[in-house]
Amino acid sequence: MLKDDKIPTRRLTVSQFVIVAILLALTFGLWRLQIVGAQNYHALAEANRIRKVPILAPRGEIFDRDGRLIVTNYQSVSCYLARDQKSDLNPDLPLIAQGLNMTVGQIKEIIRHYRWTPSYEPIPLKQDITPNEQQFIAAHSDELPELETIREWRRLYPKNGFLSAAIGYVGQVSESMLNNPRFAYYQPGDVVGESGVEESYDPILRGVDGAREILVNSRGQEMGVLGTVPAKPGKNLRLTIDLDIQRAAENAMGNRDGAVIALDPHTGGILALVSRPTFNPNDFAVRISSKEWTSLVTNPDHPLMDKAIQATSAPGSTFKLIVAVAGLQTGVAQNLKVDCKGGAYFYGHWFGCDRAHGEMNISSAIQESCDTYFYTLAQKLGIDTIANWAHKFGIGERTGVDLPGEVAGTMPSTAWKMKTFHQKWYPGETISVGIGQGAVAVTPIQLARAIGGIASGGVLKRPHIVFSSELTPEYRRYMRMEYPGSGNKVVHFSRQTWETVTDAMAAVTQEPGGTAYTSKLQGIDFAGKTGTAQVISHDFGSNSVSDVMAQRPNAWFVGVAPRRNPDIVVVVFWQHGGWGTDVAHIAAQVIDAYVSKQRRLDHNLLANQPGSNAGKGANETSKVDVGAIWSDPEHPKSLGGRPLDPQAAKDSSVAALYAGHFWLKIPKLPKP
Amino acid sequence: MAKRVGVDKFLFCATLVLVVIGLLMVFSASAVLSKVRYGSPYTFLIRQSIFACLGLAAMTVLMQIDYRKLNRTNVIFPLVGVTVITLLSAFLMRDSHNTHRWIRFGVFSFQPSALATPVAVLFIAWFLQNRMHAMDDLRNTILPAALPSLIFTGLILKEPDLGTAMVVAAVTALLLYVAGMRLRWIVAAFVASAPILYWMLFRVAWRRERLLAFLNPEADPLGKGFHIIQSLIAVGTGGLYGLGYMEGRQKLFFLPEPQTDYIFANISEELGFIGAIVIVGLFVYIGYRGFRAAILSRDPFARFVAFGLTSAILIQAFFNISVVIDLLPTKGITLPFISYGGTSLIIMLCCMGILLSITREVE
Repeated sequence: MLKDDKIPTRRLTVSQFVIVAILLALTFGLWRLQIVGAQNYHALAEANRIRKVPILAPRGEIFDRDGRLIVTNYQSVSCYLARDQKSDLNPDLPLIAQGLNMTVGQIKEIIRHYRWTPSYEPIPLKQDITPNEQQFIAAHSDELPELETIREWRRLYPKNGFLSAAIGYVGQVSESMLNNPRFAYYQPGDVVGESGVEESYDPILRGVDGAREILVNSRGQEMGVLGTVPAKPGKNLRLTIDLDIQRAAENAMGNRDGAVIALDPHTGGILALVSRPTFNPNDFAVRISSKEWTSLVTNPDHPLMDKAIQATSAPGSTFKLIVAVAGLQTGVAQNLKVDCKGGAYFYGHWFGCDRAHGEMNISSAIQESCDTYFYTLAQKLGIDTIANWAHKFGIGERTGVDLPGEVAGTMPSTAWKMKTFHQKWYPGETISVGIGQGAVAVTPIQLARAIGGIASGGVLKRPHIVFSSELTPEYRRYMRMEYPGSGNKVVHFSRQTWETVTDAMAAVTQEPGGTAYTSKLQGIDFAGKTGTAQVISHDFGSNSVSDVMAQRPNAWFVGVAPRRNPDIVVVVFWQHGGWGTDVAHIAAQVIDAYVSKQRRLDHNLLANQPGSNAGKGANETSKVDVGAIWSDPEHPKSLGGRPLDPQAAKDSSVAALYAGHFWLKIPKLPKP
Repeated sequence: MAKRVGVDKFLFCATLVLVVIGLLMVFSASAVLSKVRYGSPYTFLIRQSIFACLGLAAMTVLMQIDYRKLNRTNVIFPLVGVTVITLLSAFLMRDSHNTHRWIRFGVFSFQPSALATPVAVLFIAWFLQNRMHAMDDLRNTILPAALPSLIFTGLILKEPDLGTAMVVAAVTALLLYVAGMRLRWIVAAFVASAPILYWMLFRVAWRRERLLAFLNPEADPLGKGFHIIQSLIAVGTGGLYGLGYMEGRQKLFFLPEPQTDYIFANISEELGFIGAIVIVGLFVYIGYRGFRAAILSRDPFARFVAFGLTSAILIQAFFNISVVIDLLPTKGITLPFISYGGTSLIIMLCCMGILLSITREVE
């Protein structure tokens, strides 16, 4: 190693001290900033606030099958609290409470509710505030910089609870929902569908909220925008509901407790869905008061329940149609004749019928709803044959309708009883199952699909309220998973069975002696079956009304038109409706409205023309038969129509519905 | 020959303390950002922990190896070659905002400019160890010694990464100065590069804006001066004791990249003047131990390497902190051992491994 090759230590030392000195100079810089200037920068930091202002996405609108608007949105102003504006909010609370017509306790509760969200995110304080409250906030912007207003979209639903059970409502996502992984997507304060279509199609209806990140000074004034993410509005949804039929069903049902459901058996599309009592979903659009909420959830008549899919009851005599198919298919019913003496003894017990029907065969037993005949048939078939056929028609199973909370109901069998009660089945229990009593429990939608399926020759469709063509394949798969049920089914039975049962159903409404003959619709092939279900202690809603009412049986009617391959099936479930035949009138009004509408439609008129005018002169006009439905409170009988609901027609204060026929003269179209 | 003793435990511990503080502060600075970007507050922490483990392992291996193994042509030249090739290949990578600072292969990414300073130090040490007598020879000693540094600086400027280029240039000038180069040549070199520097600073629009913002941040507090003001607010609010660990507010979307270039602002805000002084003190202590090794070592290669690597660490720390407290215009330089970033951390720990290996020869 050469001596010259040694690094001069002097330069090394100098450099070393220079570098360390420079580094130490930083200490001086830090001292100047952090110790001397601390006060100054504290003030700057106070003024320095980032604010995330949400841009709320409007939810998708909801339309009926003809594109008529059902649910829309409106803009309202809400007040938000920006907690990071003041280090201590408590002194301001009395003034805020006074200006916003709230109590200090309410405000504190809201602040506590949102205590885990970052303080730079404003929290919703009061929604849908009045112009006076807006003025208060504007006037106090200097003293109360923590108050902010925001324009928000709110849901506007039809009035008076129209279609409310099917549409559902929206509300703020609750704490318990946020803890559920299924709702991981949601943020506190988000609006979420909580029942009906609003819940089951929430992922489609809800948009994606946007946000503006703005920089504000200590007085809350906007200093600059750091970034904007625009909101994506939710998608619109077209329902299978037909507003005309829905309106007819709502009117026909009046204030009676229960449900009406109308399906298109060809597709499973729900045409109308009514549940009574109803509720006003607009109450939920703005934060519902806890008093209103308590009254809704504690009401014994369960207004928030969608009874068309959630109420179960014994199907009563409507179940005889299924027993009839089972009897005909097993070859037992064809030649079975029973002489009804007003009841019969089975296994030592007397099973009564409503009257002595005389000699009955399968057709007359359906037409006149003879219990004795079906007791006998059930005894011959045995419970497991009945249960087997009932299961084929989806009794005791969810249909898989795209609405939340569907209930499965029950179809008893020997296996079911062993599994549920660990007891063997007693043959005597089979007898009452034959007339739809005992442990059989169905929902209106289940019955509609089953009876619609029988009338359609065994083709059962998954009921749905949204056209599946509106959905992506992924969403359809998601819905199948989220809303499981037996869905589409085909049940094989013979043509003779089909004709026998449907002809008997037609006789119920169209031939004298039928149990719903008073609901006969002139010119419409309206067929159906009545049912009366004894209310037993565990039955739904039995403690709701007075004891006398509570013991009245539930009334059912299932109607189709036309009798075979029907275009519509209607199930009316009237809780504690008793033994009357009014329930059939409700279904008749719905079917009448449907048929009238079909006949009104232009393409139907034109389609009728060539057939009815074949061979007539070119200049002659043709007549077209038009069924119509109208209400005329002034002159109830002016047009010669027939009241659809005789009871309503007697009460002059009610605009009763009338149905009738017109002959329209239509000039023949010139040949093209 | 100096006797072989254990590595400098004080230097080793100071490094370890800085790495641990770095992990804690990266978590504090990045938790919210990480939650927003990746859904988990731990993403940056986990990655930095992996980098720290790899880097500490590399440091431990390097400090066991005799540093003389680096003092060979067949080590130095491949290192220079790899650095040039990786710097060049960065230009083949599509990068964001028309910059070429990264090489990416799938999940793995690498910042070649981080290699430049240590490789330049090794090359100068290797080249000058036997030429101390010829420091007046510009053509045969000074220019060849500075040649790799000039290439690196040029390529890094083109990336563009002015900050790292300045670190390479500063360390090279310092090494040439301690080797005995005439001071007036250094002055001459500075004067000669002044027009280039002027062009770099004022003809590139965004640099000019940065520089003007540095000179007067209040002129445009929400635009160009935003980062500087936010950084000053962070440091200023810290006060003597700071707001407390994890309590900093400026990292919530005010500070740009609070876990990398501006981590010192977050440290100052949360740990206050005391915390900031501890960090600066640890760097000064590392400087003291590193320079001590350089002065006490008898091997000229070791003296150069120890001095060069120590000053590289200190100069980078100085640049980073100066930017945070608005003593220098903003540029992307990491705080050694502390800032988030795999390449920077691992290479810095490798440098420390070589430095520790040199201390084994020092009493």
